[in-house]
Amino acid sequence: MSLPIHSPRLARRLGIAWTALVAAMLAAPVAVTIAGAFSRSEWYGLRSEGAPVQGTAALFTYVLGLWGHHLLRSAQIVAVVTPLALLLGAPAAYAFRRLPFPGSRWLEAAAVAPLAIPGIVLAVALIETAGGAPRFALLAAGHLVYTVPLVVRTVGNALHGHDPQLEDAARTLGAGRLAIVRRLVVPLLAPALVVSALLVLAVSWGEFNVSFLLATPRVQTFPAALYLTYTTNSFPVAAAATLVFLLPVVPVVAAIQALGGEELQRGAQP
Amino acid sequence: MAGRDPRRRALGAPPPAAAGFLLALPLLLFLVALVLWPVSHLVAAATHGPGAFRVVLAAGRYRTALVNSLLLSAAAAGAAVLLSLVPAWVLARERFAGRQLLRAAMALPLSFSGVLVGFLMVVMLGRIGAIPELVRWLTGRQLLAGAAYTPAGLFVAYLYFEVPRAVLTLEAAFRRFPPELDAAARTLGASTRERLLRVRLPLLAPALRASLALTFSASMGSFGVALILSRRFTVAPVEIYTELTGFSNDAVAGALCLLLALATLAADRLLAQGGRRWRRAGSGGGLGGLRQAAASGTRS
Amino acid sequence: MPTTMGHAARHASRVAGLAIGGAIASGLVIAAGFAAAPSSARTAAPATEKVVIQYDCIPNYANWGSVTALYKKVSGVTVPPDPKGSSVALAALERERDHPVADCAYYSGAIGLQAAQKGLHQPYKPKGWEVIPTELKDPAGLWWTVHTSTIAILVNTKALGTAPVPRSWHQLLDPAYKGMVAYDDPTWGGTSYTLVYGLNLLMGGSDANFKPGLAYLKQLDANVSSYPRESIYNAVLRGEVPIWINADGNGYKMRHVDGGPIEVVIPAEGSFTMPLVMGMAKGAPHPEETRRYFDWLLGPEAQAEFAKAFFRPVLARAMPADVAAKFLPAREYARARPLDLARMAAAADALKRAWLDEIRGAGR
Repeated sequence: MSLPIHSPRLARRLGIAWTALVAAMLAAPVAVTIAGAFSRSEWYGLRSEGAPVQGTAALFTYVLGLWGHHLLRSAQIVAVVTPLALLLGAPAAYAFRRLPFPGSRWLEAAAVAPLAIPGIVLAVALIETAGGAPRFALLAAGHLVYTVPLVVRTVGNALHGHDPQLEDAARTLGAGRLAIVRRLVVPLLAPALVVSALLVLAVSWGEFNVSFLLATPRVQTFPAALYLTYTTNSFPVAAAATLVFLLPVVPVVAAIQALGGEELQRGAQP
Repeated sequence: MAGRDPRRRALGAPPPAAAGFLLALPLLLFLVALVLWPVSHLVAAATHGPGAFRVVLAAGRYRTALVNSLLLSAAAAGAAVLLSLVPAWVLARERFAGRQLLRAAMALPLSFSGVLVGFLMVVMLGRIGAIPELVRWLTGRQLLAGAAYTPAGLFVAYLYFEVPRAVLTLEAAFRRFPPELDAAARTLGASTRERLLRVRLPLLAPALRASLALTFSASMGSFGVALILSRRFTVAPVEIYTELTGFSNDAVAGALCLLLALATLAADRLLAQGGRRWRRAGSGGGLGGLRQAAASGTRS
Repeated sequence: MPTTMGHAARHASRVAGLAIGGAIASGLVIAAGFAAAPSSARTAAPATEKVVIQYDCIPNYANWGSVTALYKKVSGVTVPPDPKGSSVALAALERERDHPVADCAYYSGAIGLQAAQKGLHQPYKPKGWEVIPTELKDPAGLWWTVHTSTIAILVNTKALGTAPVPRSWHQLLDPAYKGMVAYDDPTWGGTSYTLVYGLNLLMGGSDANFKPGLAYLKQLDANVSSYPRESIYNAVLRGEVPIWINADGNGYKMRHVDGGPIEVVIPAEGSFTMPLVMGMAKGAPHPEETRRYFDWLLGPEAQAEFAKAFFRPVLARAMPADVAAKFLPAREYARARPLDLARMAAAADALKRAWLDEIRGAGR
């Protein structure tokens, strides 16, 4: 199978070169940002932070001092949202594929539909209807709306790929339903569950649209704080904050990739 | 007898449909409480009278923002898919050193929120961005400074978060592309052009449509990028934000939200429907014959 | 078959382990950095610390960064930064009327008055109330001026290139400044609303007639690069935005504290003074803390800190002599006149809408 050019080898080389070029263009801004965080030069202009900062280590501790609590908040939200998303989405996905009930197809479509709602819309809707609830809960709710569909789809696709006859065979051999789930279904779904968890982690960590409007000066996620960094801090500080944001995400995205990667298509809401 | 009588087990166990419903119940409650109820509240505010919709659809800032969103998203989606065809193909079907690295580079931007993408654009193409500075250092001319803030800059930013999505979606489809059909067509004497149009395209059309739909809806809902980059060229999510935070105008904001969501859903449905029709048409005639030829070819 | 299932599962868990290990490792690195950060630099509060939420608390506007840091040192109470402009703060207070989140807000005068009129404030007269001139406070204590400033043209002379420093509003219309000018979106920030309202009066308009001001701004629009909805203090300092129409205090601070190539210009035709006010939110979650905060803000310590950022403290004697010397001479300021806050508040919604329609209108 080759590209529709006469010489297959040339076509292959050109194709790889083009791919490498695209990848390089995607990576270049990140590389420049990393360079900016580690350079102490005034290349990007004067620093004006209300506090003098000298040296790379000092820069990072300054950034963490400024935005560290929001980083913690993001971690707390991710820690809460990931298991909840799995609990809400995975059993439902199993039910949709293996234990259908009247209306289950409709519900499955409805489960994925929230991805089409713009984040700010949901944020306003949540404030209007549940404004008295603690902001942390509202943030978690917002994040769940955009991550549960991913779990449902990932687990659903995995179930779609596995033959249900395996489970039927186990049942005719006398295994109880619980045993089937424990010893057959869960191991089969393990990759999909892991990918779902990582997906939820990556998307929730980077979520901005809902979090931005739900943020208060006290309860804020790191991406919302990143917006403040970009608009009020100097470039080295903003670059350092960006790096701090990216650091935990890189192993997660790499892992999703290694496990298949298809499910990452949708990504975070830009 | 190895295990218990399965019939007796089945009598004691709950019927599968009820078990299924119970498993899906938390999800249902979650959707109703945290999505349906709040959003319907917003819809009610927007449809409280026809006034809000009339204001939005009348010529002016709001309508322009909606139209801008549609045009920009469509253009960016199309361009992104076009740009992603070769990389997706290469990643799916070629083996070479560094393949995993390239794939990782493609996938990383997927976790970036919009503000991060906006920031990266400013870093590269802002008034003193990396590219203008490089150009100035090399040629002494002032070029592209501040390009990030133009509609073209916004377009490029949209491409930045759309290309990874398109590449991964298409790659998955390309991986599943059966090479035997193409080989069968070649042995049957089809030219390269014919193979492209009548074998590959129909088979890949659903994936193309899916990736177009994905990139289009990602663009329509994109807020963070526009917040950082858009200056004169306004898009719907930013207008929604302005109405809410500048004027507390829930009615107009709600109307804009509804129209934005409807436009996105409509495009999504359109692309999905078109795909289904195409698939149905493609299963008969030419492709069906090819499949048979391929099947007979592989079996022997 | 069991081997394949177990194999996939083992592979998945291995990868997951690596991923989570990587994520945790980076988390630990970040936590270490966080712990190493000096506690005086932290401005966000965990749930157990004492806190006052102020809407519109932009760190490099009027030195709020230093002021809140000083308050934290003095009292242990954290006032976290908040990027909302005056109008956004007002809208947020309105939205959160039933479930107040903010304790207080900081506004440009007219917007603060609007908020009080909409019933979003509760009265409180901080210690030293008598010091504030009558026209700069609400008789019932619903709002009060913490410092004042003057609208000016702030110019980054290095970024200006060959163009001359603009000295008047009409000179700003010169095509030489194309793409160089910025002023905050007046539907976001109160400083810009003051600018738009004042320009309208200066150009011969009135509360009933916005046309002259909008006509000028429409012409200026050709030179404007953006109407930001956030503080572009750093962008101006870096030279990304050569000309910023904003409070003079910001310009002086950029020049004298941050060492930027900034010049402050009071336009020849005249300009406007602007009181910046505080109001305590009705239903504030931390009322006692907020009252103590207000008392401190009106005291000599805080007022001197505002003066260091070149915003004129309402407690006039708190202005140090060396700071006062760095302002432009008094004859420049003779051209700056105060505006009627009540009339500004009454015209606010209409003028902001008119600005949006005229300047942003269709296609913008």
